[in-house]
Amino acid sequence: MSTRVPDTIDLNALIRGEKGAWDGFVRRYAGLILAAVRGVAREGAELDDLVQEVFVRLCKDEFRLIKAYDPARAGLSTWLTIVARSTARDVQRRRHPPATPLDSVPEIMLAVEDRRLEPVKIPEGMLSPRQKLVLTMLYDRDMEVAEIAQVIGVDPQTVRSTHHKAMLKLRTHFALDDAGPKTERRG
Amino acid sequence: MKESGAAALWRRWCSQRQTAPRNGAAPGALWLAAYADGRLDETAIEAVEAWLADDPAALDDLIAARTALRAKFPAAPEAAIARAAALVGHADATVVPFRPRAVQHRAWRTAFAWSGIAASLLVTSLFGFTLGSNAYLDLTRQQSAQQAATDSVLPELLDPPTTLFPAMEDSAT
Repeated sequence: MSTRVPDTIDLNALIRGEKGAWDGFVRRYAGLILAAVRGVAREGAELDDLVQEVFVRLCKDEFRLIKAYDPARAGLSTWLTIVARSTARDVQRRRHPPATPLDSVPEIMLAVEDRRLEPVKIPEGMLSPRQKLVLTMLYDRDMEVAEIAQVIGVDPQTVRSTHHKAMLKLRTHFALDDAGPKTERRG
Repeated sequence: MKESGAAALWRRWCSQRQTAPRNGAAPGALWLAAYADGRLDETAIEAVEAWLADDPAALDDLIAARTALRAKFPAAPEAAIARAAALVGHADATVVPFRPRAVQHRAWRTAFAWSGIAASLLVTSLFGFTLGSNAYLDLTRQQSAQQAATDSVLPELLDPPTTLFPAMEDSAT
């Protein structure tokens, strides 16, 4: 049974500013937008205000944002979710810039950086974008293979294969790196 | 699949790599949505994935968008729906301002306040001027009266009429 939010909406009527089209659009997608902003709302944030800010942005400048949407490229629900989250983050950043009390920062973090940086050892493009993405989700986000497969739209075996190839590259690189330059190993 | 050795290799790689400068702006919402819906070609997929690996917020958005495709959402509160619906549909087809326009009311109140102050100053000045003028007039009147009195006595003192000393006149004749 499909639980998707239907994407059938008269965009032309919406862009013309027709009241009926706008009311229908609001009623259909307010729930989705509320769920989207809830995911990025900070503690104590007013969810209704964030939802309103999203709708304001959508109809602002004679519906400029909606005019930029292309239904041939992406579904409306998907696009609205991303727009809503982005708008909610921007609004919260404007109203309450994130701040960390100085006392809560370890002293080591406040140290002046040593400008004598070691040369970058990783060759550019060693890992493909997908390999970096898979490793980021596996090790930085602690996501499962099935989740990653669902996010990037591939089957789980592809994720495992991508991970395996990435690991081969890393092991090869660091094995060479640890062994040192060839001139040092002679004799 | 996750080995501690593999995780260590990944951390080591992250600590040593230099993030390549981004060429141009981040992919917009439409690009991310297209990626989430599986509608991009290979070249575009690679570009978006390269960006996602370095942009945690964009990756969060992608994960949320993927979840949204499968979810069924409860309806938003009616108050929120009514508030959003009111943004469109006025006679002049303009968007209702989000914040009420209080600036004009503030300007009128300020104008009235300054007018009252100016009127008070004017009244006080006129009153003071009037008092001062009256005082001056009174003073000048007094001075005039004294002068007049002096003027009337002085000639008689300097050149008294003969009738003033009749005995002297009798003896003189």
